[in-house]
This record gives sequence, structure tokens and C-alpha cells, in this order.
Amino acid sequence: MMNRKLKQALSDAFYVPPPARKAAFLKQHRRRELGRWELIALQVRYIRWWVWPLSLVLSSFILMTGTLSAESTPWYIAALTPFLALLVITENGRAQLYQMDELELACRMSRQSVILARMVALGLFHLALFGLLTPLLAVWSTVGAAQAGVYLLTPYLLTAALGMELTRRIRGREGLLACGAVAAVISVSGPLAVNIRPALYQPENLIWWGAALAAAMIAAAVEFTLNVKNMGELQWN
Amino acid sequence: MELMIRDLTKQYKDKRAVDGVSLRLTEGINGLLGANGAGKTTLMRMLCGILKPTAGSISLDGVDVTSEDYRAVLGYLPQDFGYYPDFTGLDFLLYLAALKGLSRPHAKRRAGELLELVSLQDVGKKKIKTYSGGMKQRLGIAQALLNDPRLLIVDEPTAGLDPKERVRFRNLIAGLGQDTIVLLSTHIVSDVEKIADHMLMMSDGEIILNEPWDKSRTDLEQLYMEEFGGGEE
Amino acid sequence: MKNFGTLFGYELKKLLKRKLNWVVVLLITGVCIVGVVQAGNSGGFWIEDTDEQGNPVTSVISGQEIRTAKLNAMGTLNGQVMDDAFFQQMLEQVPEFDNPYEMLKYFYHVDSTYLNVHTMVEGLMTDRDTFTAEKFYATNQEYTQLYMDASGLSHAEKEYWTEQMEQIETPYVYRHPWPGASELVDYFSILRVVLPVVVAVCLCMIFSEDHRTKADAIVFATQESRAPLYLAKVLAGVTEAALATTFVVGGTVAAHLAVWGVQGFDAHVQFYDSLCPRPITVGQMLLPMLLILALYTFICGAFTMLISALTHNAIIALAIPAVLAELLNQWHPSARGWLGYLPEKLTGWNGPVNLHLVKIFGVYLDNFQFGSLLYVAIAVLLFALCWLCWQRSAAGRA
Repeated sequence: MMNRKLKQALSDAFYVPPPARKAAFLKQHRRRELGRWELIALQVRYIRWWVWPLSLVLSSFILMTGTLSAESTPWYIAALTPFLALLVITENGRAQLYQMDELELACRMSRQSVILARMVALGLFHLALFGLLTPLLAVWSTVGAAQAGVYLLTPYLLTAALGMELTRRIRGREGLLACGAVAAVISVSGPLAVNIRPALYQPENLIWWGAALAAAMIAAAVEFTLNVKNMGELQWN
Repeated sequence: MELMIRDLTKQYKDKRAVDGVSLRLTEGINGLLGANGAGKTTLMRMLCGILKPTAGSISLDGVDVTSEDYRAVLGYLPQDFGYYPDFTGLDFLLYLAALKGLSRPHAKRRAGELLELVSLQDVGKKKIKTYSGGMKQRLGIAQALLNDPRLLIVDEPTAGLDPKERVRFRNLIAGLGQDTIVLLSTHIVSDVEKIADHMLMMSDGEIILNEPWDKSRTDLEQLYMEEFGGGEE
Repeated sequence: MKNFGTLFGYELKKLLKRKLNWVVVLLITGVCIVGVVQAGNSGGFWIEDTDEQGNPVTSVISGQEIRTAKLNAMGTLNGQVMDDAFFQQMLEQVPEFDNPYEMLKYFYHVDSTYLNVHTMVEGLMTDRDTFTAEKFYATNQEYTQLYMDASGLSHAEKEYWTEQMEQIETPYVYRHPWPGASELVDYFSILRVVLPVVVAVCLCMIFSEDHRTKADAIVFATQESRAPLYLAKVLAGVTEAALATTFVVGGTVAAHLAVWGVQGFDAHVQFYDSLCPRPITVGQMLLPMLLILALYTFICGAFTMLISALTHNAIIALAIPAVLAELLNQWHPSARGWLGYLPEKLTGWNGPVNLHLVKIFGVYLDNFQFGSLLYVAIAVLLFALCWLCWQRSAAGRA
């Protein structure tokens, strides 16, 4: 271990001048830049940390309500999935909400890729959760696997489709609030629908649910495409 | 290096915010003066590729504004920008560095350098919500410089700053103009009078003045009043 | 507080001018009305029968037929004293049934006159041949006492309810109860989920709006920005919640009246539920349940406002109450102790037959009375917490 004083004395004696033309020198040499996939993976890190555990909590509520109550009716399974979709929509709209959209749009990585990365990451996570919930509900609740899957996905995709449409039409927090209202209304539509059509959640009506799911998937895909296209430009005036 | 703008127009319903603007900008500080609503911000947004023009084209050394390569060399400080609430100054720079495609080590080094350049090195780890208006603007210019831009667009950077901050900002920008095309919009004459190499004035979506500027001149305000009407009473 | 009226007016205007509020309230009201009308003609029974050759046959009694039969039964026996002659007439007219399907076919396809009476006496009638009015009332009283014993009532509570029962004159004078009573009480389970969500949508931004628009700095720097503004916001929120509740509940009740008519609210509640010892009418049973529902909605509104004041985030203030209301509605504990005051218990079929009492200042309060006070107290507590959050915000901005 060198004596501190000696170190200081040496440093003073052999004074290193500040680098000249450092910036110019560095500019001459090409720096390694991030590839597209690295950029996308990096973006997933910027999804708000609490979205993941909150998704898990909501999923566990779905499992609880679908299985613990002896009187549980299938619409309980569908009641909370719209709030999962709301998490995705709010994540989507964060840049506009916090006035970061202009800065992000002017960066090298296109905003479409950024949002695509985040939505796909979250969407896949939720899909994985549904994949886990479906067999558990089939075993522990009163519905079959096909029913459980359809009851989970249909309101989720419907909320996502309507939410994306609304955030495109209504800017800022009002748009996100409208999405919240849509999620809330869809979540209570189960008991309302059962009142209108009591046999709605019976297995024999699964084919209609299948059609509704297909329609919701198409709507969500269309809205997703329009949303991503829309993100390439600032929503102006 | 040159930024070519040809017949650029932005129409919104019955209003032309930018009307057939054609410009050729080269390295140096290009000042853009105009009153509120002249179309400066709309022009700048189109130059950043975040607003699609109704007509016309923009290219930087032949690279079109819509390409990723254009944005790779672009630095932009908007008139009004926000921040994610839990970000520190450093987080903000690292986040934008990631969006600008900088690798993590490079981003960290660059963020440190820029925080020092804008005198925010002591507060880099504090949340942006604790920053004053001037500190926020300095952070804004720091993020615009992350990727060593060849084209730097700065929209009314000194709005809301005190005189000392304004001078500091001016000096910072002045140092950047050597091998970068800097377009600085303002409606405060003193922001550009002493540092601009080229002067542009905009009114009602059109460029009404486009000429080299001698920094020793002191009659910019008078020129501005003549161009926009209304002299001394 | 000199400009309180102006402050209240503007706060209410802010809420009433939000299109989203109106869209949600009117949409939900419309769906509820459609649901009630649809439900009035839906449902039914599957009947398993045999044809003349003895082959099994399945037939249906449709919801429409059930509704028609119930409405036709209205008024046919009204005013008749339920004495020996009354029961004798019933026994002569209504045959003995071998199985439940025969009973359903008789009452819904043949003659529904004694449908409700048969439901009242069926469990009490051990022997048709020796059944008399005296036996009916004695067995009814005995079963009610057994029910009180099984409910774990204290001696004082049993005494109280026995005294109440003595106010009910026997023999009964028959009044057909409103046929929509069961349907309305069932529908309360939907309203318990729907109303908190509607109110959350309407009130989620009440305390977050100023923060979002950055107007709070200006607002809190004024003289009236503490208690007066807070009270104005709360009162505006309560008014908005009341309006929303009136639309949704009013629409639902109106639809039930349209489907099931307006007769029968003055029938004794015993014609709706024979075990209920309360000396009240069907209307007097439904009114406190509607009040409890309204108070529950106010609690949800207060909770939404609290979350709004705490988080300054309208989306969180919308989502948390909505999710909690869904979860609460899916919890079905037994109605013991304090759990008997859950909204599901007070506004469900269990409500009128939950006989536990609370004594306050020497006065016995039944579950509806105490439940109302409890709900008001909870709402006040939530508003008090909200006030603390508001104060903290204001102090932080000062």
C-alpha cells in the first residue's frame, strides 16, 4: 500500500494535462450502438415496476372468486380482466400523459417500436397468466377449460380494443379516464347480461362466446395497428 | 452539412400554420424569430419528424426526415416538455439515451459529462420534480446533446428563465454551433442577437427574413419591429 | 362561508358537465331497464311428464306464462279473511299434487288464484284433511319461534319480536303481495355491483382535477379554499351520487313496476315471507332496503373521493372502488354478528328475516335501522379521512 502522501506527491510532480480535442477524437471513432432487439428489451425495463405484481394480484383475485365461492357464477371470472387490459392501455398512454411524447418521438428509436415492445411484453405476460388460470379454473370452478379461456379473454380484448380507440380520439388524461370507465362498465356487464340472457354463461352458448371472442380479437388487432400507426406523429392541435 | 427544406407546408383545416417554407441551413447558429402563433413550433416539429407535413420535403445531407438515420443525429429541445414523475435527472438522461440507441456504458459516461456541462452534477440523483424551472431547462438541453447531434433544434429554450439563466443558456448554445446546425427559435431578441450566424424571421407561417447575421450588430430589435410592424411610441 | 352557494354551484357544474358521467349513467340505466323487462318474460321451468302412452315428455312453462299467471292472481282473493272457510275453499279447489311438476302445471297452466296462498301453507300443512285456520296460525307462530331460536337471538330479542308479532292481527285479511318483490330483491345483487362502479366513474376526479390541471396552487392560496371548498366538493359529490343513484335505481324500480304492476305494496310482509315477524307491509320492507342501497352507494362515493384526495389520480380512484365492490359482492359469509350488516345481507332476501337487534340509549333498533345509522357513520368517517387528506394537500401547497 503506497503511502498517501507519497501518492499525492507523485501526482503533483507528474501533472497530467487535460486531454486536448477529446470530443473530436471520440467522434472519429464509431461507438457501438444498440441493436433493435436490445433496444426493445431495454424498453421492457421501463414498464412501471408495479404493473407486474398488480397483474399477479388481479389474477389471483380472479382465481379466488372463480373457485372459492360455492355460488360463484361464471361472470365473476370475466369481471376483473378488463382492469388487466386497463394496465396495458395506461402504459401505452404514459408518454402523452406526462408530456414526454414529443421528446420520445424525436429519438432515433421509433416510438412505434417502443410502444409495440411494451404492449407485446405486457400482453404476453397477461396471456401467460390466462394460460395459467384457465386449467386451474377448469379444475377448481364450475366451468370447463374452453369456457374459462373464453370468459377471460373476451372482456380483456374488448376493453383493449375500445380503450385504444378512445385514447386515439381523446387526448391526455381524459382519454385514459374514458378507458377506465370502459373497463369498469365492461366488468359489470356480466351480471347485467345474465339478467337479460340467463343462459348466457351456459356451455351450450359457448359458440356465441367463440364468435364474440373472434370479433374482439379482430377489433383489438385493428385498433392495435391503427394505434401504432398513429404513434409515429405527434397529435397536433 | 446542410439541411434542405423545400416548399414545406402544414395545413390544418382552413389554417396554414406553415406556408411553403424553403430554406437551406448550414453549420452555425440559426436564429428563428417570430411572434406567438407565427408557426415556429410547427416548423420545428416538422424538422424533427414528429409532425408530418402536408406538402414539401426535409432532408439532411440527402437523408430524409422520416428515416431513422436522420433522427440518429437529431437533438431536440421542445418548448414545453414533461417528465415521468419518479425519474431523477440521471434516470431521465439514461432513459432518453436508451431511446437514442446509446449503449449503457456510453450513455452513463455521456450523461455524467452532460450533467457537468449544464451544472446539474450535484442534483443528478434527485427527482426532477424537485428541480427549478431553470434546472429543468438545463436538463432538457442535456438530453438534446446526448447523441452528439449534428442537427440541434431548440424551441424557445429561455421562456420562463431568469436573466442569469438566459445568459448561461446563450453561452451554452453558442459553444455548440461550430460543427452542428443549430436552429434556435425565440421571441426574445437578446437570446439570438449576439450568437446567431444566420437570422430567420417568421410570420403567419412564412419566412419573411432570411439573411446572414453579423454578431456585432445591435439593431435586431429594431429590425424585428420593422418586420412585424409597430415601432416605438 | 359567504360564497358557499357559488362554490357548490361551480363544483356541481363541473361534475354535471362531464359527458362521460352522463354516458355511463344513462347507459347503465338503459341496460338495467332492458334487463328487467327481458327478465320479466324469461326464465321458466322444465316439466318432466309422461304422455298417454307413458312415454317421458319434457315441456316448458315459460317466463311469460309465469308472469301472466302471477299477474292474473292479483286481486282475486283480496279482502277475504283467512279463516276456516277460506282454507276450506282453497283445499276444495286446489287438488293434492303427487309431485312438484303437477303443482307447477296446475298453478301456471290451469288456475293461479291460490298460488301465493299455497306457497304460504305448503310447508305448514302436514295433513290436508285436518288443516284449519287455527292450525295454520299456530304452526306459523311455532315455526317463527323455532326460526328465532335457530337464529341465536337473545331472550330480550325474542321478547321484542314476539311483541311485534302480536301487533299482527289474526286471522289475516288476504292481500296479494306485489309479485315483483322477489325479482326486485334479486336485482339488488346486480345494483350492488353496478352502483359503486357508476359512482366511481362520476366522482373519481373530484379531488384530483385541481392537481391535474395545476390549478391547486392558485386554489389553495385563496381564503375559502379549506373548509368551504371541501364542503362544497363533498356536497357536490353527494348530489352527483344521489342523481346517479336516482337514475339507475329509479329506472330499475320503474321497470319492475311496469312489468309487475303497482298493486300489492300494502300487503303484509307475511304474504311475501311467512316467517317474518315484522308488522310491516311489503312496501315498508322494500323502502328501507332501497335506503340501505342508497347509503351504500354514498359510502362508495365517499370512498372514491377519499382515494381521489389521497392519490390525486382519477384512474386509481376509479379502479380501486370498482374492483373492491366486485370482490365484496362475491363474498358470501353467513349473516352472523357484524357480517349481518354487509350490503349483501341487508339488501338480500336475508334482510327482512335477520332479527338481531341493537340497543342504543334504551331503544331497540332492528337491522335496517341500525344498518342505516352504521352506513351513515361509515360515510362520515370516510369524509373525515378525506378532509385530513385535503388538509394535507393544501398545507403541502402552501
